Amino acid sequence: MAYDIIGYRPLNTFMHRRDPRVKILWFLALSLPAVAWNDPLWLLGVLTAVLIFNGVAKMPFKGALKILILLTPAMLVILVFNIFFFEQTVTASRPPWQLYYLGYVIPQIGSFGPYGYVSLESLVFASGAMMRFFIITLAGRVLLSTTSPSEVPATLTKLRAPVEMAVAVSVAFGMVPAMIQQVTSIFEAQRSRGWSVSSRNPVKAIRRFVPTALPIITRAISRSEFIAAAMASRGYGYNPAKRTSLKELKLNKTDWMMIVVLVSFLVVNQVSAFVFNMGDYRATAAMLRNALGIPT
Amino acid sequence: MEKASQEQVRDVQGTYDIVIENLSWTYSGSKHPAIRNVSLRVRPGEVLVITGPSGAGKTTLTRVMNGLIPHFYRGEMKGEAYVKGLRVKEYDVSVMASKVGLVFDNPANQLFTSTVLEELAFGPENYCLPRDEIIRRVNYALQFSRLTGLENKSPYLLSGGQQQACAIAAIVAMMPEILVLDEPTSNLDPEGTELVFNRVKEIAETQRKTLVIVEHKLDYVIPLADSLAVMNNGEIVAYGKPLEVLDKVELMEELDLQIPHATEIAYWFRKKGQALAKIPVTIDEGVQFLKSMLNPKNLPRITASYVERDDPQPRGEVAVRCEDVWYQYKDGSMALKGVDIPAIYSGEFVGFIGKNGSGKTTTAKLLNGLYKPYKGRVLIFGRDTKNLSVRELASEVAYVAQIPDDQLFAKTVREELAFGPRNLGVPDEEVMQRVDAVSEELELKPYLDISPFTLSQGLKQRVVVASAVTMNPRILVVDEPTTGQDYARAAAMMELAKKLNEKGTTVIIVSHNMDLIASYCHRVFVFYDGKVIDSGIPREVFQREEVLARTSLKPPQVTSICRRLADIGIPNNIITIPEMIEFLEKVVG
Repeated sequence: MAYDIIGYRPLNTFMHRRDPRVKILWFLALSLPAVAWNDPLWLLGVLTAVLIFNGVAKMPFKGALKILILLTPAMLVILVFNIFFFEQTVTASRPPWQLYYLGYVIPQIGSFGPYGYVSLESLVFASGAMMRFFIITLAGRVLLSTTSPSEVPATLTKLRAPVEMAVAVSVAFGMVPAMIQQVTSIFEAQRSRGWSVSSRNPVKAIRRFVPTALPIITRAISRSEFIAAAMASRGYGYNPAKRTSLKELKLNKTDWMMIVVLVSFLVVNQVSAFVFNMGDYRATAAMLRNALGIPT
Repeated sequence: MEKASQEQVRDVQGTYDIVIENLSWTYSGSKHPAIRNVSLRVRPGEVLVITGPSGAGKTTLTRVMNGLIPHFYRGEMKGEAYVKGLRVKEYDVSVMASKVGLVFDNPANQLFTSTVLEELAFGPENYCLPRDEIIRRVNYALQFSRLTGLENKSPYLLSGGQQQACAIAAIVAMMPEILVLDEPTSNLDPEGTELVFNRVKEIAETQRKTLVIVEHKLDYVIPLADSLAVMNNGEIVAYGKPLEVLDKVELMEELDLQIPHATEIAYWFRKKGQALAKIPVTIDEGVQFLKSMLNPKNLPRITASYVERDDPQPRGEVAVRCEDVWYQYKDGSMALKGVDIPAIYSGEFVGFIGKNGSGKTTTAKLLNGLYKPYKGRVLIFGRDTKNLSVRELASEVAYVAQIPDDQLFAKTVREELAFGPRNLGVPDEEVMQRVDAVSEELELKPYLDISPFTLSQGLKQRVVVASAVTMNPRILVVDEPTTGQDYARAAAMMELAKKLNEKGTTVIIVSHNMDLIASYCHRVFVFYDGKVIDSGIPREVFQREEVLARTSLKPPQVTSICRRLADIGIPNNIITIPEMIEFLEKVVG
């Protein structure tokens, strides 16, 4: 299922036509500010930009929604962790201020510190953290769905990775659909024998996976051996250092323009965050306090 | 003296593309050699066909030819092998592969890139060819494989026949002088088999390349072959001109090979003491042969009443019923577009036939609830599968998957057989009783306490069926029991199903092998483009030209021969060799 959502979709859109190196830069230009900024409002802007590119690449928004659903458990963990371990960012330019406490997540026991408190600030910060996670995943999806695995070896070679690594990555991508089919067949074969995982005891549930895990492992091993033999039979290893490539990567005018725009944006967002302390969650927190009439 | 013998060796290597002398190979970890004292010589442009039962050592021999043995697989080698004058022991696979292209049996195990284009370019790229040359070769290979237009598709999404054509094209793009094909059609439907053999024919007839083909379907390859080698237990037991080898009737019958029906008919005449000028192999040759052997004027008018013996009126309650069943894949495409099966009766033995992707397997998986209909109803003994889980249905319908290794996991065969009924909550005592009874019935008793992984492929398949039978199903669905199997093993599997059927189990077989369908099934359902377009007793269905043409199905060879001899009084509805022999006994014997 996951591969349906993030796997390569052979279309011919503006994003598909870009050189993979430009797409990697695009991914960095939108993911790095998501790391540098923590203000949910600013991050909402980045998310909107990613969603616009998602549309440009003709990726179904239903897929984005599916990702959101898949990420929900992880996002909830992020939420809880951020609430529990929230500490104000205090630097010379960011003096501490009084947090506005909303209540406890769990009752305070003994000296179980400030953790367990829910403050307005921690909620604002946590929602930013969740959005950050979603932005990076969504941008990654656009990158993967618009870049053919066949472009991966040439890209890696251009980025000066060893040929062996480039081929290995390409083969790994190529084998994904076959592996998914394999896993599905194994699950179907065992379900036909009345097998299911349903058990309330987590240890038992893990043990119940053995009838599927074992065939998956043995079949994967035997398949890898066949694939290795097939690769050797096609001359792999003849002279890796001088291996040539059918795929040629060339940057066109639009690619260069994209590079200029993306590099500029990347510089601006990193400077704004690390030099001017912009994109800080406290701006939104202060706005909320003002709106709710809570004194800062 | 030594110098003279060296020169002799060089002479031999110059005359032949492949020279194998007294070669033996034992895989490391194995006690017995996979091949023993094998000697072969193949001239440039020669087509050598190697056949023999599973486990005879055919694949091992092909691995020697491109250096996978001894450089990729570990083991002990005795004797010598030279290919294009290169001593195999001395040259790495990557060097040998430029001279010898090796295509494996299973396309899924040899396609590993993301697009057809990349697959075809992989070999030339490894040999560091300039980009222009790679493009030229890829275009040539695309044209050769008839895959033009599909270059950006994932090889994995092609049909079985196209996948194997792609695997052959990937080798063709490397332009080796010798091509070795190891059972290239063992996983394909009739249409895919046709596609692949047409490509092989082009290589043999137009390109005049040296070809080594390991194959069971002799009627396809014998017309191309210059020589035929038969292997058994790691040894070559017969080797020479194809017709001379086929003439060794006793040996051929002993090895239980998939002998073309035309040849089997000739064997019958030979046993009756007739001198034969030439052994027929193809349909045309079979027709000519029978015309020459049977004088129409002397043929007594026998109206063979084969139809009556088919017993088309099944009894019992309705076990399976499909009412306008639709099924949609996750990508939105429709796999089934209104399958109607009015009734499969309890105790019947039926076959689902049709080409790959026609909906046979999807329908089979709907029967045990693995898939649920998108529209319509599937009824198992009157109960709608929509409201039943796979687990609930498992005690009614057992589905046996194509590949045994997809489900074997337990430490012992006993545990493997007990797995199903335990999942259904059957008390342990009864589980063990069932395991005992089923293992007795299916002759698995001696293997109960050993690991299923150590068994031969044939035994593994028997364990898989037995593990379904221990769930006491009333319906047994066997999906493609013949995939990747030789004829003897496939027939053994069908015998097993027949045995269960005789005890009352309803059996549904999904298969491409029309010989087996003709021999075992009471009725067949013909699938085409997500629908059942025809059904009936095999004898009738094999007469319907338009259905066969539409679905690319080929009736058994004996039927095709008989249909062309109706004018000399041979009944056109004979579908098996025993029926043909019965007829011949009456008119000639």
